Amino acid sequence: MAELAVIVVVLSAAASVILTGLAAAWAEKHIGSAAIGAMTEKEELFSKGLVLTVIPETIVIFGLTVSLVLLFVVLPQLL
Amino acid sequence: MSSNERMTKITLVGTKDTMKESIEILHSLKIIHILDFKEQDDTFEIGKSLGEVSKFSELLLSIRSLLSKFDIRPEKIKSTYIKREISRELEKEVFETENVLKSYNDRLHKIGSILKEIDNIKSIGDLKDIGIKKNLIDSLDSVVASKSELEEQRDKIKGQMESKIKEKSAYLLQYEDFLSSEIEKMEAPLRFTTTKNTFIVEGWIPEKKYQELGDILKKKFGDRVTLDKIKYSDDESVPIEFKHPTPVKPFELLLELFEYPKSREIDPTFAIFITFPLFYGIMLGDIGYGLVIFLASLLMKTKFKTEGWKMILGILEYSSIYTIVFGFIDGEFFGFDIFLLLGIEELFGLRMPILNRIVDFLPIMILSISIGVIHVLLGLIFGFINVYRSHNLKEAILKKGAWIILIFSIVALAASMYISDILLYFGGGLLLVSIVLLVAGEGFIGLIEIFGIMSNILSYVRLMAIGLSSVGIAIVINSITMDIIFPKGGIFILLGYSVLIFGHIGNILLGILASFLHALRLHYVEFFTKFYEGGGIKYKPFGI
Repeated sequence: MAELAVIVVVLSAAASVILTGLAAAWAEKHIGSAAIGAMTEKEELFSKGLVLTVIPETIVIFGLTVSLVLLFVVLPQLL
Repeated sequence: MSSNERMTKITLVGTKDTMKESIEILHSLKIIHILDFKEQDDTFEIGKSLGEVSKFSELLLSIRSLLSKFDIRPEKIKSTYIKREISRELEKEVFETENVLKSYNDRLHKIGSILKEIDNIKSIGDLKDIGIKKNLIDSLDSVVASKSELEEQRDKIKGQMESKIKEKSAYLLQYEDFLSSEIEKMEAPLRFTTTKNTFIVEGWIPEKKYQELGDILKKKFGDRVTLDKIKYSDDESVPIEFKHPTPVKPFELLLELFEYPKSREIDPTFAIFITFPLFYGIMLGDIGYGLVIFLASLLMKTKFKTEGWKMILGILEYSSIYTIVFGFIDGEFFGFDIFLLLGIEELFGLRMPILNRIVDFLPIMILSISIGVIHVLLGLIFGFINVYRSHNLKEAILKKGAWIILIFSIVALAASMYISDILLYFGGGLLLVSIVLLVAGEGFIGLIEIFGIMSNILSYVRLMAIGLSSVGIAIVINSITMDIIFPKGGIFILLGYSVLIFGHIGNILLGILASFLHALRLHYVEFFTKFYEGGGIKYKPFGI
C-alpha cells in the first residue's frame, strides 16, 4: 500500500510539472503571437508585449512548487 | 514622497501683436507645457503659423538628409545654438555642400566599379589563348596595371570628402539646431486658440515659476498680456516632472513603460528602487553572473549614451550589485559552490553558504512568500493613502483597509501553527472583521477576490523558482563539462571549455531577461494593481 502511495506521489510530481509546463507554453504561444501582431501596428508596444508574454509563467511556477513540495515534503513522510 | 514638481494650470491671454514676442519669451524660458488647441467654433479658432514655415522646413530637410547621408552625428561635434540669419547665402551654401559631397560620392562609386571590373579581368587568368588581337590584350593589361593609380585616387577623394564633411559639419549642425527651434516657434500658434484680435495659450507650468513668468510678462507688455491660474478637475491629466535623486532616476523607466502616475497619486519610483533590484538579485543570485552583468553594463554605458539605454543599464547595474550580494549568501560562483571549493565552512560565525538554493529551497520559498506578503501589504498601504487622499477615511477602510486586515489575519492564522493557539483566535477574529468590511465595501463578490490576493502572494514563489531553474542550468553545464567531457582528455578539453563558456553565456542572457521580466511582472501585476491608477503625462516644456 505504501508503495502505491509512493508511485502516485512521484507520478503526481511529474504530472504537475509536465502539464503546467504545457499549459504555460500554450498560453504563451497565443499571447506571443498577439503581441507580435500588435507590435507590427505599434512598435512601442514591445515592452508591454514582453511583460504580458511572461504572465502565464506563473502557472508553471506553481506546478514546480507543487512538485517540489510533493517530492521533498510529502514523499519523505511516506518512505 | 511627493517630492515631484507641483504643476499649476494657466492661461495666457494677449493681443495678437504681442504674440511673436510672447512666443519668444516662452520658448527661452522652457517652462510651459502647452496644451494643444482642440475645439474650433465661431469665435475661437486655431492660430496660423508665423512666416514661411515651408521654406524653413525644406531647408531643414535637406540639411538633415545631408547629416544622415554622410553620417554626421550630433555627439561627434557639440552643437551650439547660434542665432543666424536665414538668407540666400545659407541656401546656396547648403546646396553647394550637397553638390560637392554628391560629386565626390559619384566619383568614388565610379572608381569602385572600375576596380571591381579589374578584379574580374584578373580572375579570368591567361588572355593569350582566346585568339584576340595583341593590342586588345595589351590595352586590357594596361587597365589592370592602372589599379594602384586608381586606388590612390580613391583614397585621395575619400580624404577630401572627409575633410569637407569635417569643415561643414559644425556649421550644418548649428543650422539644424537653429532651424528646428525656429520652426517650433513659428508653428507654436498652431497650438494656440485665437480670436480676431487675441491669442490664448493654455498649459501647465511649475507652480513656483508662476510668479516669475507673470513678472516677466508684466514688465514687457504691461496690460496687453495677462496670465491667470485656472481651476482643473481631479481627473485631468497633469504633466508630471520627477524630482528624484540620481540613483533612483533610472527606475523612472519602469513607470514610463507602464504609465505615468497622476499628480495626486503616490509616486512609486522610490519603492521600486528598493524592491526591483532586490527581487532581481534573489532570482539571479550568483557572484560570477553578477560580476559579468555589472562589468558589461559599465562597458555598455560608455558606448550607448541615449536616455533609454542609460536607464536600462543603470537598472542592471544596481540589480547586479544585489545579484553579487545574494551570490555570497547562496555561495554560488557560475553555478559552483564557491565556499565548498575554497574550503570555507564558516564565516563570521555563520555556516557558509547561508542558503544553498538547491537544498534549502523550502526556507527560500517561505522567505519568498514572506516578501510577497510585505510587498502586497505595502501596495495596499499605498492604495489606502491614495483612496484616503482622493475620497475619505471610510472609503479607504472599506476599499483597502479590509484587505490589509485580511492579510494580517492570514499571517496570524499561518503563524498560529508554529507559535501558539492564541493566534488562531486572534487571526480568526481579524478574518471575520475583514470579511464583514469586504462585504460592506464591495458586496459578496468581494469574497471571490480573496483567492485573487492569495494567488498574488503565492506568485512571489517565483523568486525561488526562477532562481532554482537558473542555478539548475548552471549546475548541469558544470557537471557535463567536469564529469563527462573533461575526463576524456585530449581534444575534449577544448570542447569542454567551449561548452562551459557558451553554456554560461546562454544562461546569463536567459537569467538577465527572465529575472528582469519576472521582477517587472511582480511590480506591474502584483504591486501596482493594489494602488496604482496611472494616466499622467510627461512634462514636455515648450522650447526643449
